[in-house]
Amino acid sequence: MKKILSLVLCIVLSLAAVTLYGCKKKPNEYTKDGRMILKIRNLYFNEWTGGDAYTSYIEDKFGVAIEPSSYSWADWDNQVYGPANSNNLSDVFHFSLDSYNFANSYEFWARGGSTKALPDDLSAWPHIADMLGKVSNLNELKINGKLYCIPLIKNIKDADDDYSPFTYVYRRDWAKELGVYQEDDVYTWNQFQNLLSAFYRAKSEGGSVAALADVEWGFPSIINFYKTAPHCFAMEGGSAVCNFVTPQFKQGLELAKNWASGGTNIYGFDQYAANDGDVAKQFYAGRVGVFYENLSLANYTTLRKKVGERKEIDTKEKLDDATAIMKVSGPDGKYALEGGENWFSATFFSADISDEKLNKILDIIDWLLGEEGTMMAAYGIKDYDYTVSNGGEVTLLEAGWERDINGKYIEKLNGAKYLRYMATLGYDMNDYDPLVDKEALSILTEWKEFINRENAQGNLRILTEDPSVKWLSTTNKSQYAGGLLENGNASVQKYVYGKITLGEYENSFTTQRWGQILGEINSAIGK
Amino acid sequence: MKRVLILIIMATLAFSAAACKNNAKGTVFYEKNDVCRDFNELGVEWGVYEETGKLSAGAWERITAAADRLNPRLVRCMTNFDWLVYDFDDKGTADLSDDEWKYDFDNKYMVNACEILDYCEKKGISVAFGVWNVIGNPDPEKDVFKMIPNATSDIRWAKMTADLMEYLVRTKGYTCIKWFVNSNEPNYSGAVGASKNAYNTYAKWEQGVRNVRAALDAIGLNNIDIVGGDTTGFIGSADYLPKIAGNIPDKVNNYGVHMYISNYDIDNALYGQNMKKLFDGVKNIDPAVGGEKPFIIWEAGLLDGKNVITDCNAYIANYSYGLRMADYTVQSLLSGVSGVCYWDLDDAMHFMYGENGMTAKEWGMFSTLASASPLMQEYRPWFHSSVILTNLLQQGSHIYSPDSEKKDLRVLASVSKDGKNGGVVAVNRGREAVTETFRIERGIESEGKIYVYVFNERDLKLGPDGFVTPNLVVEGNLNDGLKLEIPAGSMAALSSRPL
Repeated sequence: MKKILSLVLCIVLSLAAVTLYGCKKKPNEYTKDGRMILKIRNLYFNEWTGGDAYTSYIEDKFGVAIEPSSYSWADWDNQVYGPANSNNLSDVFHFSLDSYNFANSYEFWARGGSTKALPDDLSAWPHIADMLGKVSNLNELKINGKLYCIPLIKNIKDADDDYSPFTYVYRRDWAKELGVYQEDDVYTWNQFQNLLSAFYRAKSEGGSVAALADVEWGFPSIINFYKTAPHCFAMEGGSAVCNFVTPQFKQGLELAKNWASGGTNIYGFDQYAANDGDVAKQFYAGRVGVFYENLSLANYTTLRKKVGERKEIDTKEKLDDATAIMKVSGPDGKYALEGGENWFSATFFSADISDEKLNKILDIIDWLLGEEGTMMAAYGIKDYDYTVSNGGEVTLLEAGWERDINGKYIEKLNGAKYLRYMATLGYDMNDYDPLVDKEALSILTEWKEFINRENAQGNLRILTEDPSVKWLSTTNKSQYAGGLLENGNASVQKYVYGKITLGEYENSFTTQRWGQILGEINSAIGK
Repeated sequence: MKRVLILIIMATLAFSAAACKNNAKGTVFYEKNDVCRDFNELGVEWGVYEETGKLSAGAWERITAAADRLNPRLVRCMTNFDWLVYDFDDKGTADLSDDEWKYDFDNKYMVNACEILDYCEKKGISVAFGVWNVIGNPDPEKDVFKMIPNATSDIRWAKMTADLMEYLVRTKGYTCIKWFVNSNEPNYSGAVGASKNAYNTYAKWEQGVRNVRAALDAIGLNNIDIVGGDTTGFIGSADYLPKIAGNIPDKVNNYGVHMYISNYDIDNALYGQNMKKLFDGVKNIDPAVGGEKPFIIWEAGLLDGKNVITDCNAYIANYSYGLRMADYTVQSLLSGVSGVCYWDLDDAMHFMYGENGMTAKEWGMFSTLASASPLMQEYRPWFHSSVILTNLLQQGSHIYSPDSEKKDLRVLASVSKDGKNGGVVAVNRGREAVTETFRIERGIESEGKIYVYVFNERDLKLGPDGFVTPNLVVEGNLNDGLKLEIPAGSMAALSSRPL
C-alpha cells in the first residue's frame, strides 16, 4: 500500500490506511536478553556508529538495543525516498523536510499511512511537549490535528531565532592592508563596493583571486539586498507574485550580472560551473576576499580551522583578521538576512512500529532533552567525565576529558549527543560544550548581538515567506513548487552569466505552471 | 635510578622473598588459576598498503625494524578482490557459475602483500589473511559484478577465495597463512548504496563460509582454517558467534571479533566483564573455544577519540592510549581470550576515500607516510607499551589470573610452555601509587634476574636505538616474589628475560 504513485490516490486511500493501521504494525523485535531493538537512522549519525559506553548507559536505562545508521549529505533525499517507497523504513528516520517537499514527503507519507503520528497527549513527555511548543509554524505541520514528525529545533533555549546566519566572512587583513577597513567590520553599501573594488584591483590580477564569491547554493548573494522574499513567492498588495521578476529582484539581478560577467569581475570565479564545496576551498586557500556562506557554528569553526592551517596564519590575531565577519548594509541602509524556521529537518516514525515502541523512543528523547540527558550529551557520565559542585559548577575530570597534543579536548564517541539529534540540533549546548570552539562562538555571538541591536532599531530586513503561502498545499504547488525553485535559480544563474537574454529569463517565469500555482495560492488566500 | 618511581629495595626484596615462600602476601598467581593454557599471543593488523607511492623514503626498513621489535606472533593482513580481479565476463547470462575473470597478481597490491607475507614467513608469524569485502561497487548503477546483494554467499566469492589462496599458499608457498578471513565485520551492514555489506545477513555469511570451506577442501587446502566471525562489537558478536558455534563449528577453527571499547568501560573494568560473558556464551555451545579453537580479537582498539568520518583516532598520540590498551589486553586475557591483534601498525596502510579525496587512517603505532610530520613519524607511546606486552606474553604460554582482585590494579602472569620464561603485567589505573608483592607459583627456570619495565609518560625508558629498554634489572626470581611500587597511571612489566 505504500507504493502509491499519485498523491490523489494517496489521499483517497488515506481513510482506508487509517482503518488498516492496526494490521500493519510489525511485532517488536527483542535481543536475547530482552531488550527492545530500535532501528534509528539519522543524517548526523554519519559521525557515530554506536557501541559506546554512553549508548550502553541509555540502552540499560531504557531496556533497548539501538541500531543506528546514517545517510550521506549528498544523497539524503533519495536514501529516504528509497526505503519509503519500498516499505523498508527504519523505526525512526530523518528527512530534510522543508516547504518545497512538504506535500510529496510529509503529507504523502502521513496520508498514505507510512508514518506514525505523535500521541495527542504528550503529558508523559514534558520536555518534548515544551520543545514542540516553541517550534515555529508547528500548526502548519498538523494534518487533521495530528503531528507526524518531530522538527529538529535549532536551539531549545533560544527558540526566537528568526533569521539565518547566511552572511559574509572576509579578509580583514587585506582590507587593512589596502586602507579600506571600516571599524568593527561595519560597512555601508558604498564602503562595501569600495572594498570589493580595492580587493579586485589589488588581488585579482591574473584571475586567481576573487574579490567576492558565494557558496554555491547562495549565488548571487547580493540580490538579497534588493529582493523582498527569499524564494519563489513574494507578496505585492496582498497577492502572491513571482519573486524572480519583481522590480526589486531584477535590480539585484542586473547588479549580479554586472559583477559576474559584465566586465567588473567582482565575482572572480565562474560560479556557474562551480561544484559544491569549491568556493569554500578557494577561501581556505586564500583566493577569496569576501565569502558568502552559511556561518553556522559548525561551518564557521571548520572555516577557521581550515584557514588556520595556512602557514602564514600563525597567530590568533592573524586568524581573526583572515576570517572576520562583515556587517554590510544594503542600498536602503538596512541589513538583509534570510528568515526561516527555528528548526531544520525532522524525525519521523515508521507507521509499522507499535505504540509501545513509539512510547519507548519518546521516553528516550524526552530524557535526552531533560537535564540528565543534556548533561550526558554535553559532558558524559557523571563522576567519571565530570562532577557538579553543590553550587552547580561543572568540573571536567581528567579521565573523561583528555587533551590532545595541541591542548584541545579529545572528542569521545558519545551516543547521547548523537541520539539527541532526533529532536534538536543542540545549539543550546554551545555555550558549555567543551568541544565547541569558543573563539568561533564568541565571534558569532558578537555578530548576532550586533544584528539583534540593528533589528531592534528597525535596520534589519528579514526575508521571509508568509507561512500561509509557504506551507500551503494545493494541487500544482504541492507537486511542482520544488521544481519551480530549482528552475528559477537556474534561470538566475544563466542570465547572470549571459547564457540567456532578459526576455528569455522573464519568459521562464510566465509559464502556464507559474500561472496555475500563483492562481491556486491567491485563490487560497482570498485574492 | 633517575626519577625513581619503582622502589625496589634489595634488602626488602630478599626479606620478602624469604618470607613469602610458604606464606605469600600480596598477589599470588597459583597454577590452579590458569585461564588460558594455549595462549595464541599478541599481534597487529598489518594490512596491504593501499598507496605505496605515498610512503616516505626508507619506509620499509622502518616498518620492518618496528615489526622486529614488536615481534608479533599474529598478523591480520587483508586485501581486496577489487584490486586483483579484471576482465570480468558474465557471458551475458544470469548463471553465475559460467562467469569468468582474470587476476593481476603482479600489481602493487599483491607485491606489497607478498612483502608482508615474506616477512611473516621468515619470522614464523601466524597470519590471518582475508579479503575486506565482496567485489563490486556499492552503487548498483556502477556495479558490474552484482555480488553485493548475496554478499559472501555468492558462489564466485568462494571461487575467488580458492584461487587467491591457491596462489599464495601453493604458488608462493606461504605456510604462515593459517586462516582465511571471510570478509571484514560482516555484521556491520552500513547504508544501502554506500556499504558493500548492506545486504549481508548471518545466513549469507554462513553460506559463504560453507562455500569457502568446500572450495578450499576441493583443492586440498584443508590446512587453511577460517576465522569464525570477524564481527565487530558485543551486540553483533553475540548474534553471530553463538550461531557459528551451533551451526558450523566444524567449518571454523577460530572465533574472531573486533572490539573498539569506550575508555569508560576499560577504566571501570566493564569491558572484561562483557568479554567474559561473550566468551562464556560461546564456550557453552562449543567447549573447544579457548583451547583447540582460539578466541581472538582480530581488531583491538579504543573507541573514544575516533573520528568516524576519517577513521582516525585522536588519542593515539597520548600515553593514556598505551595504558588503556595494556589494561584492555589484561582484561581480555583474563576473560579467556586467546589472542589480541592491535589495530594497527602504520598510519600509511589504510585510507578513507571521500568527497574531499583520500585521507590516511591515522590509527597506527607510527606513520611512514611521506606527508606525515616528523612528530607523526615517531613511534607513538602505545607502540612501546605494545612492544613490552607482545614480547612478554609469549605464544603457547599459560596465563594466570591473580588470587585476589585489588581495586584499580589489573594484573596477570604468564609462564612459557617450557617453563623457562615468565612474567607479570600490572596496570595501576588508580590515582595513587600501589606497592604490591607478586609471586608466581609455577616454577620458572630463569637466570635469577628480573627485568622491570615501567610505562608512563615520565618513566618510559628508551635505549639509543629508540626502543624500549628495562628501567631496572634486579636479582631475583618471580617464584620467590617481588615487591615493587607501581606509580599511579602506569603499567609495570616484570620479566625473567629481557624483552
